[in-house]
Amino acid sequence: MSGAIFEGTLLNLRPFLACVFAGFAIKIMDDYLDGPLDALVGKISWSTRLEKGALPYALMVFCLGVAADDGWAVTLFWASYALGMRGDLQRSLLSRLTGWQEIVLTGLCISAVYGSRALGTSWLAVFIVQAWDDLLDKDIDKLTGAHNWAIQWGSTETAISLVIAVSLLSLLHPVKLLLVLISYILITRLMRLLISTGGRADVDTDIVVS
Amino acid sequence: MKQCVLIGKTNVGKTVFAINFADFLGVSKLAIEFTTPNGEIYERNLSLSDALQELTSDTPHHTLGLQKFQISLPGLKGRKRFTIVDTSGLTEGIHREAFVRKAMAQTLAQVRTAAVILHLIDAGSVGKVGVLEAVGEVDWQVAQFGGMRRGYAILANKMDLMGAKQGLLKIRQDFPGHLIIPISALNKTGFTEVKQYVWRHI
Repeated sequence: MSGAIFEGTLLNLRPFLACVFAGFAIKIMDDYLDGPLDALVGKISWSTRLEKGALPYALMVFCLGVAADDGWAVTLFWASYALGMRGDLQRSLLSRLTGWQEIVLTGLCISAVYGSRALGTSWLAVFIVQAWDDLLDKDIDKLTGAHNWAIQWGSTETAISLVIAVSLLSLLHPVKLLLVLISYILITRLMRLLISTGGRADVDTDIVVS
Repeated sequence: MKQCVLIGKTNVGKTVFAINFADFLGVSKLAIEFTTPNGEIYERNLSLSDALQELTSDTPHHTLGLQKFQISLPGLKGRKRFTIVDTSGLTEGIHREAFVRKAMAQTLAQVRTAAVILHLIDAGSVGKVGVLEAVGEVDWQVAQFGGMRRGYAILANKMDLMGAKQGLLKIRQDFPGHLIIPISALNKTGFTEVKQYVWRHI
């Protein structure tokens, strides 16, 4: 019995590491893109610390995620990319495709390699994290104009969607739900710790809302 | 096309901000559409340095009417086009000149349809003389209206001046619940934040 648990833990170690590394890569990229305004309203962010180093660091950390488990890392990253485009679904982008078209095209390519189930469950996992984040950041996002489902749909509607997504994922892939949630908590805690111990020397504290 | 309206009292730096923000976004020549308070419309092409020289002044109400120009905003995975609308400065009470009153009415009419309202306040003079003296009733009313909708932010301008940091803190205290971006229109600081804010709303 204990052998089975140990074996199961080992089996889940690589997906867990993939979740953590992919999560870090996504967080660094997000912070970089939302950086200047978030820093101004005192949102915890690595953007002011990493600046242009964000891109190489995000890529390196993502590579570690791929090395741990490529299927998990790639599908989670795609899901984050797809959900991150929520404000640009109809807009024509640099690729000359709209946001929707980019999501579908990249999704088809990735599902051809890893399967639609992996893609769908990763999308649900990232949706859960994003919806939770949006509920927490509603006030700050309202101030800065960031896309936020709690503002767009309403807090109750977002909370209901969150519960539906959690229920679906717990049926389809409970391990993914658990590992993604643990990684999310780990990443946000670690970020707070790193930022609070390192200070924010690069930000003029007089002009930042604390 | 979505509009970004610059609003505020006279001499808070709206026109300097408009021209230098265009410079920051990579524009080298401005095709400005002028609308007089009487409704006459004409267009002029000006280089940025000519625009700064001709359109800005320390004299109040140097901008009478609307000055509009289009900007292609570079951002994440592409560009978005929008129009910057520089407006006449607002004053307290009823101005004695009918032409100025018309210009102010024209300014307020623009606010209703704007996607973004950037409300400029002179942080330098707030730091020097205090919020009550430097910020008038008109600023409170604009902030009250702006707070009811999306796309409203306060730009605390003239952060390059002595006492502006104290001014910013006072503005923050007196305008809670609004996004306040410290900038120096003259030195083009704080423009990255303004650009990101505008991008999110157009």
